[in-house]
Amino acid sequence: MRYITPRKAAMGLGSAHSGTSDHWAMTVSAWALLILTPLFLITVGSALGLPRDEVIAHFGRPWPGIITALFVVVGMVHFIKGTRIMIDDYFQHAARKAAIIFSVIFGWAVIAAAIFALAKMALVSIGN
Amino acid sequence: MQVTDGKKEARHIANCQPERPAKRLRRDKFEPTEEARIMADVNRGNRPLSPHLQVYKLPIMAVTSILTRVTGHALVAGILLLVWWLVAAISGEGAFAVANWVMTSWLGFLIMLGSVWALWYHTLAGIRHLFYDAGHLLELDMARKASWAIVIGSGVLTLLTLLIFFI
Repeated sequence: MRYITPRKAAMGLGSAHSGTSDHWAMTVSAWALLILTPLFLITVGSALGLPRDEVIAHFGRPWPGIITALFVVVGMVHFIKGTRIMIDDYFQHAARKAAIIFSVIFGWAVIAAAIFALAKMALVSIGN
Repeated sequence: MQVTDGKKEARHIANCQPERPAKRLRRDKFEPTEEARIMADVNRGNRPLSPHLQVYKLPIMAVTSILTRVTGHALVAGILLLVWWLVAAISGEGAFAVANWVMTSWLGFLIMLGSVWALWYHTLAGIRHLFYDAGHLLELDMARKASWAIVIGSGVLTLLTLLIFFI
């Protein structure tokens, strides 16, 4: 027997049974991206068009590396939760599940690729 | 019996009233076209008018709202291209040459330029969302002003970014 009233059990839970956590996560990542976006544009804007060794050296430095890594991770998590809202709006049943699974896998694949590239650039830069 | 008759009579009088000018429902200047007047006459009576999708002009707030979702999802193209460019840089000279060629080609430039605009647009629209969540900008005229601020602001910021980094 649960020693909790039905009202208490339902507190903060919507139809998705996860309360407002998604909305809050979007709010937090939105604030983070607000700070990261100008920094990210400066970082990438100053690296576009450079030759390969200079690109590697650029992203191997702490600030460009950390800013780019943070932007991709926070941005893609924001993307995964954002597409989830879109998918819930437009897709039903099996198509909804498939779309959610695809979006989560895709998002984390992009994160993994970016982190791997940035980590290798940082390590290559140590060698030089 | 008396009451029912009175109601019927009132309704009959209401239906016989001469045509009244359309009430202003929106605060901005709304001038119905001739076609709209004719269509409205067809529906004269007590039936509600529903906005027909092909003739319904979306308010600027609705356009800027749906564009938030569109730009958010379109940004995938930009970040995918960028991550591919980063991975290519550590993969080898040949891979980087291909990725860098795509990035600096006119198509890559268009994708980058579109991504920069989409990023600024989504950022400004996101700021509006934070204001909405805090209970601000919800009045009709403020919401309309905020919409135009997003449209104009994203264009100006894109131009500034272009001037700083590409020219």
